[in-house]
Amino acid sequence: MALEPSDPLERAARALRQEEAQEPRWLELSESIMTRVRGISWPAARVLATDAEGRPDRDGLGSRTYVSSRVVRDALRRALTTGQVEPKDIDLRVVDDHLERLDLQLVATYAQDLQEVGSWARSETLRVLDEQLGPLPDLDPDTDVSITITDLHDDDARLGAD
Amino acid sequence: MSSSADLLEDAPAPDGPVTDGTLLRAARLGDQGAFAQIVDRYGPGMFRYARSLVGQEQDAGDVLQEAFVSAWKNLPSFRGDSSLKTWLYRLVHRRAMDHHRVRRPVPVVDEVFAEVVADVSGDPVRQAESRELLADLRRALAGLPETQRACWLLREVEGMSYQDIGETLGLPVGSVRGQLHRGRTTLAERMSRWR
Repeated sequence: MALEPSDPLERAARALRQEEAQEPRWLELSESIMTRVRGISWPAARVLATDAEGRPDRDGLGSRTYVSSRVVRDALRRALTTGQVEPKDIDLRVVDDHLERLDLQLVATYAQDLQEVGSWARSETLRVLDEQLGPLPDLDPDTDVSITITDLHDDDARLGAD
Repeated sequence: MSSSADLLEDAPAPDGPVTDGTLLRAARLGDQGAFAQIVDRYGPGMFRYARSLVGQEQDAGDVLQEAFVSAWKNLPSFRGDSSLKTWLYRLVHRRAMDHHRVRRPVPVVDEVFAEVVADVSGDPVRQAESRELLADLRRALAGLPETQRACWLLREVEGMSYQDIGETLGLPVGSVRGQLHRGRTTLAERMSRWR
């Protein structure tokens, strides 16, 4: 049975609903949470970067350059997030320090030419990979980079129903 | 004609709030800024819930931190079978129950209950009454079995549906209804002096 609004239990529940952590306490707590979160690294693999000719990038002492897959993934996420498209999953397959395959899942809004979206996403992806890792002779952009639009939203992806 | 790249890159920034889905997708890909927004969106409610379960603010803060650290670690495997809110509350509930298992109950002092009250009318008599009302509710809640207390808090304070409560606590919806009914009845009896 529904309780009357004047019911003491309902009044007390309302008071409890309106209770918030005091601002300084909450700021302290949220900062503490984020400090701990920033200290936790997700698993990542190193990926060999190349020079302009696609050879393993070496410095003057002959050292090779590696980039964390986390950095590559983050750059892809940023590049592929617009008001109308967002990445849902970015899966990099790294074998023996070489990027062998990239699978991208995207969420887009309705009323877009999805082929154009896919084409745009592919060119952005290849641009980011080139920027982060240099030319990758072992990666075939047609067969080793897969882009799938897995979900559509009625409105702007940021505003759509979830 | 503009290219699709132009269309996508020049899309105006949306004015409305960012949805849970967008935050979740970004956080799952390692975006700590998106996760910070999730913390700010659900943290205050989760903290209130944790405090109602464990009693002490310090302990509730610890419980909340553990819940969010667990959320961050497990984000990559979260597939969205339940809503983000339900998942987060499930984590904080589990951490609160773990806390109960490893610590002896701490006597609840009235000062804990009197920190913040909803009545902002400025009327000292009403404020005192609100404090006492809330303190009575806390005492009554502390006397309920854990599941009844959790069901009541999630329904009446956090505004969850029966379905979401069931998912949070791992209970069938029918059981949620039963627990809620018993909890309400007991609380109403214990609060009856305020009629």
